[in-house]
Amino acid sequence: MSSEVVSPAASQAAAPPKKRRFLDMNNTKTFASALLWPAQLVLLMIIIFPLGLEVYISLTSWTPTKGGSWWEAYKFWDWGANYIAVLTDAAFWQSMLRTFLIVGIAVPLEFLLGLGLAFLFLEEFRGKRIFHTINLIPMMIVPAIAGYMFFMLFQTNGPINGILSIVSGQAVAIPWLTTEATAIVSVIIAEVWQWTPLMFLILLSGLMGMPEDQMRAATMLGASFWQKFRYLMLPMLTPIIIIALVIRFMEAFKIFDAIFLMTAGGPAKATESISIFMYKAAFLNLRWSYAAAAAMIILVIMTVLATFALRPLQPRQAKPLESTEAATEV
Amino acid sequence: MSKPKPWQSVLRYLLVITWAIIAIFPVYWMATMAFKPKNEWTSAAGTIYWVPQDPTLENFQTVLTEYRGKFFRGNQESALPAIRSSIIISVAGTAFALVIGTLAAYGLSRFTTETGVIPWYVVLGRLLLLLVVMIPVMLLWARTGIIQTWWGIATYTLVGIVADNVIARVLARYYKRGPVGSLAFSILQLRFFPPMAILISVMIMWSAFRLVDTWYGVALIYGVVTFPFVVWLMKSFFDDVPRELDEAAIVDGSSNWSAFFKVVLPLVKGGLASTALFVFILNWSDFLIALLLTNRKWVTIPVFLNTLVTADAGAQHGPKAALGLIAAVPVIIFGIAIQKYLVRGLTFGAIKK
Repeated sequence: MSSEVVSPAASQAAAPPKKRRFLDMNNTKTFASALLWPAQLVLLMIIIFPLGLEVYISLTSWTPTKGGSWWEAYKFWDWGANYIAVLTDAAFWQSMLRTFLIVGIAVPLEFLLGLGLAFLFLEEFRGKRIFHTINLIPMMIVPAIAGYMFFMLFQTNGPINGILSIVSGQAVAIPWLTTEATAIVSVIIAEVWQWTPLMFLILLSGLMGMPEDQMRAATMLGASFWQKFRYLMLPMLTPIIIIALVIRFMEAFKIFDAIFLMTAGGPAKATESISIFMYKAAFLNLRWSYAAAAAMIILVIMTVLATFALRPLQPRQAKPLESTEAATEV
Repeated sequence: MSKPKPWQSVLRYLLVITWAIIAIFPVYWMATMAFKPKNEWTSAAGTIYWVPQDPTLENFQTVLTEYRGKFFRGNQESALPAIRSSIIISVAGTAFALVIGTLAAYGLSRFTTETGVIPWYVVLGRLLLLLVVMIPVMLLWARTGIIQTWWGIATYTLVGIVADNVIARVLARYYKRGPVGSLAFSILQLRFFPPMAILISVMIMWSAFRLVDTWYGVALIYGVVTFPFVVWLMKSFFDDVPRELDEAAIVDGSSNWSAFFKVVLPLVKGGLASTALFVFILNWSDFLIALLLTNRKWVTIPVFLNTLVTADAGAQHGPKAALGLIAAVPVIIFGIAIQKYLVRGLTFGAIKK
């Protein structure tokens, strides 16, 4: 959490050494720390005490119903039995698996739909701007309200079944939100509906940035669309695709709002994502120490995942080094 | 570019229009639902009302005025306080995130460089080491009972900061291959924790500070949760401003602060404004934090909407849709206003187009 302050501005380095005063803002180092400290402080405040507290509670069997305040939890100290309980709890792993299932189906779907849409919007056509704006609307809807919209749409006598009835010509009455298999499908549909626009936007900006000369050259040389895509666009798009997928995977992993309003994790546990699992453990079953242990385990998993996932987001780190290496090799 | 063949244009329009209908239909359904009278909400008789037969403003009236035992279970308040608190909390949270984030972004853009990749075991090791070291401290603070006061929490945090620095130094001594942590990285990492995972202890901390169900308490957390976006967005805008400009200003005799405020900041005005709108949208969209940290006075719109849902499941579509529409409209307008920067924002400035 520390950051190295390097290379003071060139003019500062050249300036004659002045007498150091306390909090001298014209000293580059002091100025830099003054800029960074508020953020650092906020970060530490939100990390150190809450996480310390979470570890503390997770090592006890304290719950709000056991009597005594939270800080007296040491009276219920039980050496991490919660961690064993969480790790051996089938419901925890099922909700984990379910989250990965939702994410694993929704995000690739969003990607494919977004890519297709981006290709449609690559060339000019009448009304492009209007359709572009309409496409963005889903991602601007408050997720909780989007969840509520789909709650209405997926009613057994709601419009989705209505449309299906019209299309198929017979009365369709699928109880979308109240049977286990269809409930998770509904959640995935809502997620895909809301976030395909983001994929579309990211991929479109990537495709628009393609060097036109090379594309034109390939067209003139008689390359088919598939060849252009496979050998020209895909390699150039890869970094952007990775960023898009990483961000969507990580954000989708936190999915809570839409599920909470559509099914609240039900029927039974069919749509219980990991966030819903923790919410239920802490606030419905009031097993705070258990929920804290689950949270710590997820935190460890996410810390590891995040360090890998964040690399493509920091292109400045690795890029210059790689390019100079490549240059010397050539 | 070759002119597309007619069948290609037709196919393109077909697909584009199909998707536009899919994208707009749920919104259309909610918008029309808001204007439907009660007998058109559900299709009990088997007919679905695709357009309101008998448009009415009754739903807006219902949701915005106080009513007692009329529609919902028991007495219900009007949504006006929820709308007010949504606005106040989102604006305050945005302001907080902007101040902290913009300063840090400028610092990161001008005075630090990212040096090397931090492997996962260093990141995790540092975090776990800190947490383990802090267990005895927490136990001591708990046994003496001082942890329940705000200054107990403050001293604990101070000890934690010192411990974190010591751990960083020790790690740096043994791990020579690169940095053991960077502020920029930690800020970004914060975005990837499911908020659910730290909200339990934030709730406890906030009740110790008496910040639960106050506008500033929720706004503070909103600021903390969204300031990573500000940092990375503003950093990308600051990176676009040539360094020579502020250096020239400094050479000309202005101080560091005035170079920042009078030279650089005016140049990124547009970026700052869109960042503000972007963060406002994020704050406005939050549900989970408000669900846990507010309970009566400062309930926000999504939470209020949810209480309506649970009060009488499935039967009060009209008023809920009206409220949903009220909440959705400003965000859609803001979002369209900054659509140029949406990609940059949501990818933490990694994609600048």
